[in-house]
Amino acid sequence: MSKRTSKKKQWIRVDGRQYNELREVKIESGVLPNADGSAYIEMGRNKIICGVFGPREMHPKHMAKPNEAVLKCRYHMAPFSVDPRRSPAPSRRDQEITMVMRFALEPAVFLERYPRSSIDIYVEILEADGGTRCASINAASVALVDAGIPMKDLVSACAVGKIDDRLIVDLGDYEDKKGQSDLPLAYMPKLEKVTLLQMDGIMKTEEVEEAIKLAIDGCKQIYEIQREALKKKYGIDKTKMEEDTPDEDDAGDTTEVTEQ
Amino acid sequence: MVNESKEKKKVMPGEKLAVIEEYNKGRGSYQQNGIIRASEVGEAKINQEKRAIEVVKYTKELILPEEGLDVIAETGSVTRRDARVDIIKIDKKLIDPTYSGVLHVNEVNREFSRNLEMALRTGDIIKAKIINTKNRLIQLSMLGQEYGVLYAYCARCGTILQNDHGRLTCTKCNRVERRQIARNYGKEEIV
Repeated sequence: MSKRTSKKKQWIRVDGRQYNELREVKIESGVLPNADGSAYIEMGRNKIICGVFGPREMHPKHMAKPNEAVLKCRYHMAPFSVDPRRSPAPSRRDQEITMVMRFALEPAVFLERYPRSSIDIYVEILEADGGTRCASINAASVALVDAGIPMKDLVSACAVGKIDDRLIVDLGDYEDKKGQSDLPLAYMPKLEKVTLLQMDGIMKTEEVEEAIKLAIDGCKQIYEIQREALKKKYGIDKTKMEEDTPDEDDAGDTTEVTEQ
Repeated sequence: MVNESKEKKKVMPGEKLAVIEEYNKGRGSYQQNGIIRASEVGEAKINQEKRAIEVVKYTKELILPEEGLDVIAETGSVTRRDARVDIIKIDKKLIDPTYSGVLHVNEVNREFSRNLEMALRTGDIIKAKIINTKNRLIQLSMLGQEYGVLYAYCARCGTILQNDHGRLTCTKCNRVERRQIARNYGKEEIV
């Protein structure tokens, strides 16, 4: 559990992170040669692989929509992803996360451009350590871009939780289970739009407002990592990238300095 | 925002390229609330002719069925009136899974227009053109000399028929069959 160190009176999380510090995030795109687009994400001990196919003909055909494409998602946890072994059959939780991922990604994809088609997203959790729904959304949005599907923006997701009456960003498995509350949020950083907001547990109104701010900050940090992954895949030199939002980068730097 | 001086720049989806007063939206960009943004990973360029900003994408091109494209398809069921086909190649690019298409008897050459079963049979590989994608099945046309059957099987023994001066003959059992033969029957590469 989180503890107070007597000397500094500083509150540290169970894994030694600051309250607003993300776990180490590593994203790689284009890892699956047989998929149209793919991504692999490591977020702390989460290991998730994602493949995207399409737009392709919808099957079964009666599920196709005449005016837009259908975004089909599949969130699946491998039997060995958690201890003890988990049944590979889709559970109620899998179904929910599948739906939640679809809702989070749909606003970013131009579905109306591909009527009667389907875009399929397959997410496989190889190792789970809390916050897999957020990590899955992060991987899936990179994989969608990698598949050459036009996107309004990348979608970044990050969770904020409450533990010991304190808000913390990017919950690990332990914090997720022992904490009082959990608020996953998906965000389109350039359009500044929230595409997913869930919450369980109890939070005060002010805490929710604060939590959303913290989550958006976390999403912006993840967005930069997603960009780096795509830049690496498509050989874009960092110096050649146009400094699109210098104010945003500056703001990120200053907050870091003040913390130190 | 894009200045005239830096005409080329690398962009990511969602990045602001210009406002609508400056330029039109071109390929790979979209407009929202008066702001033009990129929708692809790629290089933003200004098309001076159209006064538009385009993003030349680095990611792979999507293979989509569009009107006017040539396709290669495998024939499924054939009736006197129409044939169901599985499109395996759009614009020389293989697709998997296939798109399903339909070929109506009005869309084959005149000499076969009484009965589609005379123009093609189940299992034939055909070359056709997409004429409509607005319906559940992609509508195809085989009107024209370059379109028609590319490969056909002998109905008796199953060997691939050879084009002998406009007559499809089986080299094994000497059966002669009739199809709407494409100009380069037996010469087009499928895979």
